[in-house]
Amino acid sequence: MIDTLRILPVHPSDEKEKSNETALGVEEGGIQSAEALLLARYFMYSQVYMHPIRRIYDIHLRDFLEEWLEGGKFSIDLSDHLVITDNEVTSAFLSAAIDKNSNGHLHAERIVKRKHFKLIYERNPNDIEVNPEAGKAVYKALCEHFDAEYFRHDKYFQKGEALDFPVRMRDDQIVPSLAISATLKAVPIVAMDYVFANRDILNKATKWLRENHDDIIKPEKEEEIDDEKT
Amino acid sequence: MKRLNRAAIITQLIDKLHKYGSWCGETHVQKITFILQNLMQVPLKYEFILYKHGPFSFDLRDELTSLRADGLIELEPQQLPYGPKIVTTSRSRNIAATCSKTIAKYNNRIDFIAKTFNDKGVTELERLATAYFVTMVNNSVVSVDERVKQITKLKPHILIDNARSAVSEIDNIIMQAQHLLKQ
Repeated sequence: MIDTLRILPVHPSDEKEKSNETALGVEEGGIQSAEALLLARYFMYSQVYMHPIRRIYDIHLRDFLEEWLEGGKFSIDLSDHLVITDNEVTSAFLSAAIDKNSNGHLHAERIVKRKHFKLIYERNPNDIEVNPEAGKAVYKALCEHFDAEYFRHDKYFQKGEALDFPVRMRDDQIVPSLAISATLKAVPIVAMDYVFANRDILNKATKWLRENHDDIIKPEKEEEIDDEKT
Repeated sequence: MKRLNRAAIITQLIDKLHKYGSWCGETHVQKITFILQNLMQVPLKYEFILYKHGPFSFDLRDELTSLRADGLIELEPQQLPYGPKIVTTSRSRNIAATCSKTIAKYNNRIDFIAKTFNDKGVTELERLATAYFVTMVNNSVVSVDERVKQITKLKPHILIDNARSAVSEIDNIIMQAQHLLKQ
């Protein structure tokens, strides 16, 4: 892969552009290596970084920090900020998990005793077809019917632009990667939309969600548009 | 404005740009959305900065990626060596139906912008969007010469004559837009 990296002229965006720009690209022989790396990155995101259990522990940790830290935030004073390391935080939530009177006890207990919230809803193609904001609608409905404290909503879309970089072909023509690689065109965008529920209410909420799913995910009726200015 | 309403406006803009013959790559959508939001007062609330090739919004770039993830738009590779076009999918029709009030409210503004910029390539759009950016930050009270000076200082690769014609063209577009907004 490294051997095929090149600084190449950027392909024109349209028929009228005559660009003198350059960008990092690859020679034609390196395109399969680029595909392999980008697919590996996709799998790493979708199977590891976006794994629901990993995500819910982030949320419990954030909830704990909000209650444990003074004012709910890390200090912006440099010396105060630097004395808080992972060690202090880990030690604090271990103590808080035992002591019922500690700030953040509930959240610390969820982390330490593995009582994390469980996945009750995740985005799927059928629901997205009806309403791209289905996860938000499910979370809102659950909070209204039960109690917001029992649920957490977590949504993430991949940032950045398409995997389009210049490729120098064997005949020296510079072409966009998306035009010559069917694989790159098909690499999915990392997108997740999870709703988590407290174990205490999980079964009841799951049953209610199944019974009302179709009504819940219907898009909200559009409100009158305000004539707000940008 | 909620995400679905923004999605409805962006997909409507893309459809209209195609209808009037624009190439409609990502750069086209970036520059034209900047003008739609600010000149035509469509409250999309994307934050734009003056980037290497004129106004650019990282929020909008991420939004376009999320619209691809939701299957509302897709990239359509073009004949070599050109970059891809952005096209809407049949799923975007559902959003248009859900957000019909939003589309009805801003339809004539989107139409005006799509018609006005339909034949512009990315180089010309960069000049026009930068000329509008400079005009906007000066609250339209600065002379043509001063704005040309500012443009060529900010973007030295834009020639003085091109900057002058961009300012003149954008002033004309601003007048037409103001007339439309008063109606």
